Amino acid sequence: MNEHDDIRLQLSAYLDGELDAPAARRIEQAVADDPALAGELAELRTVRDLLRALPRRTAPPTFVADVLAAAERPRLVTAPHHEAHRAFWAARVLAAAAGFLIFLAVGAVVVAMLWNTPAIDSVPGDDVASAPAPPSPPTPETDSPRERRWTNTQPPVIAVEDPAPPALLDPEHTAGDLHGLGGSGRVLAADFREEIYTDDIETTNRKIVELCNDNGIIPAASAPADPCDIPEVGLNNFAVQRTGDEQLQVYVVAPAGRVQRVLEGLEEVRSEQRVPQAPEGDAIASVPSRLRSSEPAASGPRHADSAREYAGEEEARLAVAAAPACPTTRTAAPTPPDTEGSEARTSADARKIEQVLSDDIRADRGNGPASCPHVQSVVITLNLRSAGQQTVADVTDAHVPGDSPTTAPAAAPPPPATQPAATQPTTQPTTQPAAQPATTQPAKPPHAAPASTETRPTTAPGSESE
Amino acid sequence: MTQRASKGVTGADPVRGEEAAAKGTIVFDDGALVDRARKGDMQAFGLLVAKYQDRVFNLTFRMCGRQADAEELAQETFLKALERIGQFRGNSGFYTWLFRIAANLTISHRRRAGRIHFSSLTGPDDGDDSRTDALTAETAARRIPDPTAAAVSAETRQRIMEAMQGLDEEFRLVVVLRDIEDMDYAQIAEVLDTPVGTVKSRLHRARTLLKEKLGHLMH
Repeated sequence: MNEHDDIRLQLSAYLDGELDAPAARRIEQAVADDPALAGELAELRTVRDLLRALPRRTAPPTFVADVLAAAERPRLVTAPHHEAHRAFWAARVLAAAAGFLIFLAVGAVVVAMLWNTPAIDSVPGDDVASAPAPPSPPTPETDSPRERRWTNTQPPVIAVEDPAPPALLDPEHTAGDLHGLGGSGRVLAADFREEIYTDDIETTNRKIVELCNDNGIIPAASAPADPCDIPEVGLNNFAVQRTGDEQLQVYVVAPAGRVQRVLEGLEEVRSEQRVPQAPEGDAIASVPSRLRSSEPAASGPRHADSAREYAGEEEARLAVAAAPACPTTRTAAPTPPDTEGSEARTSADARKIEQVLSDDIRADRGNGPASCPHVQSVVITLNLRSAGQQTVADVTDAHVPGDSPTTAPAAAPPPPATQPAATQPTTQPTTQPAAQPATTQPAKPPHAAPASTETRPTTAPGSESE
Repeated sequence: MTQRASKGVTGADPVRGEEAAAKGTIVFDDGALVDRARKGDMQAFGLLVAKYQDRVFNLTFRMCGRQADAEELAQETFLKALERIGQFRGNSGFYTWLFRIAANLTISHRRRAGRIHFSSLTGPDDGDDSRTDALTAETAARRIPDPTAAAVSAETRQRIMEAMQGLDEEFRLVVVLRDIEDMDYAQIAEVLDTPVGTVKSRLHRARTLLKEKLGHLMH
């Protein structure tokens, strides 16, 4: 390479100011001496300027939300599949182990028979020890799927048959599940609770996720520890948790305006469902749950005490808030438990009371009044049609004329678990004399009954006690 | 307290640069965000995406020339970054690392697609919209001293894009990183994981090729 070629190769670097001073002076001298070289430099400069004049393209407005949704999707949506996958392999390993043990047992039998020794007597014992024991009959205290899972003597088999968590929420489940999403462990009291019954949870979930995205709400792996961490403008929050094969929850914390738009959008999502939703005109769905949950603990709702057995004050509030949201309760308890609740079921009054209560709730959160007034939260619960419709139908059937509001909900069978025996324990509490102390109310076994089951013994007796 | 400590997720720990402060915007420290993202903090990762989305998208768009492909590649870039964020050692800048991922993905994309080009009747997807126009004016004002040079017509842009698409990936990439992303040679060398001398020669070669392709615009 001669010196001229070397200088030509340096022209771009010279143009970009990437040469040291001596090299730059050398180029300048060469360009001054050679018009052809000067022309080439000018053309390179033109090319560079044309390229620089190209407009900068910007990502689409929904890009961040799209990326984060895509990033969350495998973790959140396929999490159950991972669990199922693990359960599948665990089952295979266990099945192989069980097969091996059976093989050994059969071998022992054969050997014992061949040798004709008393060892035969010991074989059944070995067989029993290695093979799954027959399930013990469920007792009223352990009649929930979760309890049965733990009381059954054949955990491996149960793990395969029933790997999913309880189909409906119980207060503990509600309170604790966002832990799994990496949150601080503190679950916020939801300002709103929405329930949607659907034939296809996944599709409806996608619509809700899109609805959130459309309103600038992006998914987060963790629940915000402090609602005030949500900025007025910028990244917001929502999380999805699966609470069972038949239920999924979307937890949204975002600026109030965006939450309101999501709530409006939910009406459209709800209207698309072919599944019966909450009774038309029931204002519960539109009343902030902070109102529904605002019943003071001192007034003695037994379910609140029950919830506090294994949850903190905040979780208890959440548990109380969850109770009226269930369509079962709406259908079965047409009479509001108290006049204040009745009044609250008009949106105008709701807003007034919301304003009054909001400061209390914020004070409960430790943020002080109006410290983060721009943030609201909503829990959207998606229920599979079979669970919701069965419950509604059963309750409707059970609610024959003449039934008192107290007994009607109690007669409803448990919604999701399809365990007929569960009717018994839920009926029993409601048939208890109303005079029974609230704190001793055996509403359900702790950690056992779903939330909707929880509402039956709690709402009506609570009203009775007053 | 945990709650306060986590507030940095939403920007409590910003670093205010002089330029950003002058514009009234907040610049987030990449290192802190990366640390949080590495621990699974998706909000921190979201902030990183928000910060670099336009640059990455611009890179992928100028590389592949199609809006849909560019979106997909940009999204894939961030997802890949999230997937491998545990491997990011911080020896280079986060955006350099991010651009390396984007560059590799776009090159792979081009190679997968082969050399077959499906030119649309309206040319490359470089349509005008108000946002683009505003940025065009801003970019032109910032980069080109001569105001008349800012008036690059849609036809000229189309020809430039066509010429760019005619370059091999390694040449196009170095041009995009230098003349569109405004990186210096050392940064480009870091992104491409090549010596600075290679960057220098590739860039000169790329500009020379473009000069030939754009001959009618040279005068």
